[in-house]
Amino acid sequence: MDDSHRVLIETQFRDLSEFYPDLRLEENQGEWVLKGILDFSACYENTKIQDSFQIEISISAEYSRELPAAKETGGRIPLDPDFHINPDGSFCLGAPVDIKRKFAQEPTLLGFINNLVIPFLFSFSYRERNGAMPYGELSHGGQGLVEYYLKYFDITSELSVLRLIGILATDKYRGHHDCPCGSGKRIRKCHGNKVLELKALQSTREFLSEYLAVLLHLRKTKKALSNELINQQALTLIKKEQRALRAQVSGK
Amino acid sequence: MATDIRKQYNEVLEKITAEIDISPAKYKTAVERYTAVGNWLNCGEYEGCDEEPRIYPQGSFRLGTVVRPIRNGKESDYDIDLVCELQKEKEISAPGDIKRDIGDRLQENKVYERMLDKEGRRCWTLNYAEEDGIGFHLDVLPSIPEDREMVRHLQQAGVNQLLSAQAISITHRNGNGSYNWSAGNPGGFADWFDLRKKPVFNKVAASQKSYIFENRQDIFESVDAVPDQLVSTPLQKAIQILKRHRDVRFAGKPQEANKPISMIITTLSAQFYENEEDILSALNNIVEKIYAHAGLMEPGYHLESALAARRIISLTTEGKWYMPNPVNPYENFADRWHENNHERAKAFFQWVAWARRDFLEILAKNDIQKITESLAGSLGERAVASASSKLSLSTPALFAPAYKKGSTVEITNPSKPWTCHG
Repeated sequence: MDDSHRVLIETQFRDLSEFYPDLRLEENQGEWVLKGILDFSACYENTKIQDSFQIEISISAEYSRELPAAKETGGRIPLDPDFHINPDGSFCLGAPVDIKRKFAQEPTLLGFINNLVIPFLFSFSYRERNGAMPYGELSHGGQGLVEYYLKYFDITSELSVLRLIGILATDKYRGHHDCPCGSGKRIRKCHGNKVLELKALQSTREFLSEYLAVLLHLRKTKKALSNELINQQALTLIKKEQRALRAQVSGK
Repeated sequence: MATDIRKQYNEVLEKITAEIDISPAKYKTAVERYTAVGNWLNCGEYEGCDEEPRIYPQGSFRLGTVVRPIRNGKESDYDIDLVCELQKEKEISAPGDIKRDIGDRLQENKVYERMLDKEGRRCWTLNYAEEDGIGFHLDVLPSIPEDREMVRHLQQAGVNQLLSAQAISITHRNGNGSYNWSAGNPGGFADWFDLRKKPVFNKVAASQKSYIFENRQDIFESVDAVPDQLVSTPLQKAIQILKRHRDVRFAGKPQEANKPISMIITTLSAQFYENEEDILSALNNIVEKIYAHAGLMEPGYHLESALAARRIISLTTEGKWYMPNPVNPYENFADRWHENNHERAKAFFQWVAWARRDFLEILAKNDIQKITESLAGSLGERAVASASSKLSLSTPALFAPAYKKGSTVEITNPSKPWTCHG
């Protein structure tokens, strides 16, 4: 691992320790871990909560292109998707583009903790005390993504979400095409800006897997999805990926 | 300590300028677009012309002072200006014909025909949409060389021969559909501008080209192959900062229509620039000198004699403003400043007062964090945030949150938790 990366992490850690002195930084072969007690006091719309969690944050060699992953190691949060915990124990902080956007606003370890980890823990703590989620939650899987994108694009049609994500999944944005939301306007005069904002946040491949999740969810809930609605190109790309994956697995 | 803060402030300004400049990739695309249009125009047949037309960029693309445009707070399309000078004698030309000949040639190309906008007063505009959503408006300016007598007048008025020789006649369409000639000299102005930046350009070109070559070896074969256009001087950067400041400060305000035009900002900056070698010193000097003229709005004000003698901005006895084009004293940039009770003059001096407050007075804060936060308000949040995140690690963390240990995190706009499975 090169020096400038180490310096970056150490500098950001120094800033972090000023506010959270009970976290320590450890290195193991190019990957870093922040461990310890996160003691915080946070306020959301007139509700203030003070709490403390034992956490572990892993920082890969690809940081800050890749975001860190956070988990709770004190046994307080059940290892359950209903509590928004992934099978590996890490917090599922939100929809992927949402997390990336938030991190981009303050792309430091301190930013990650204050803008993503603490709100997540606040939410859990609040739920423990009051039985409800303070700022709501997304449903699991594809349905949650649909909920997020309906709000982001400010539309009501789930099929339009599928089409819009389809553009991002196949990298086929064309400003002069009609907007998939059905407004009749060209996309560059309609949802174009929102699509381009998303495009800057993650790769085509990442959108491709989101597209698949959305597609699978819609298949479950809609009686039939006519072929023309399903982005053929995306499906071809997905099939290609599956074949490659299968070859990889059987080859080993 | 004082020099430390100036050094940090300069670093911040350098980084911000890089954010508001056109990206190298976008610049390359722009050059490709206007070169293609130029090639098309070049191959046309024009009545009465024996030679090929002279086609060259003007304005910010030629001077190296491009600023990312923002309209209504969002990134907007770039403006590229291309001069198309047909080599025809003025005595045998009519402005309407020249305008039409270029328009016709553009329309002969099916692709350009579709992109062509409605005829403008002086230009033909091609609208380019681009994949990333930020397009170009390419303004093609039909023109012919100025007649010899006029060129002689210019020389007699004190304009250097090499500059006055490039003077052109531009076509202007009136409200009633008739056409006149109008005077211009974008080529001469660009050469004059190059002279103003030359001493510092010569000093920094070698090291900048080296740096560019080292970082983009995939594009350039040798240091010498790096074009002069990619070298930027403090004069150019100061102009970019001032133009962006103008955009941000006037956005959405009632006086927006009267905001200072880029030509004025560029010309005054180049005229007052005194070979400063860093952006901050250049800005300081330029803004203070322009600001010294603000007093002209008050009766009985005496402008310092050295400045007054240069007659860069002056008020005539009839109460009109005079700001001559350095390559054409007959062209007055401030010819409409007195209208509506000096509306434009007021907007201009208001702008320079803001520039003085936003760039120079903030040094008194003596805290690089506070200075940077302040710049976000005058140059745009996104550009400044992006710039500060790229700063060298020797600079303390900027935009550090205002809370300290023991204080409360304010949760705003939190993410809704999700899970990929289930």
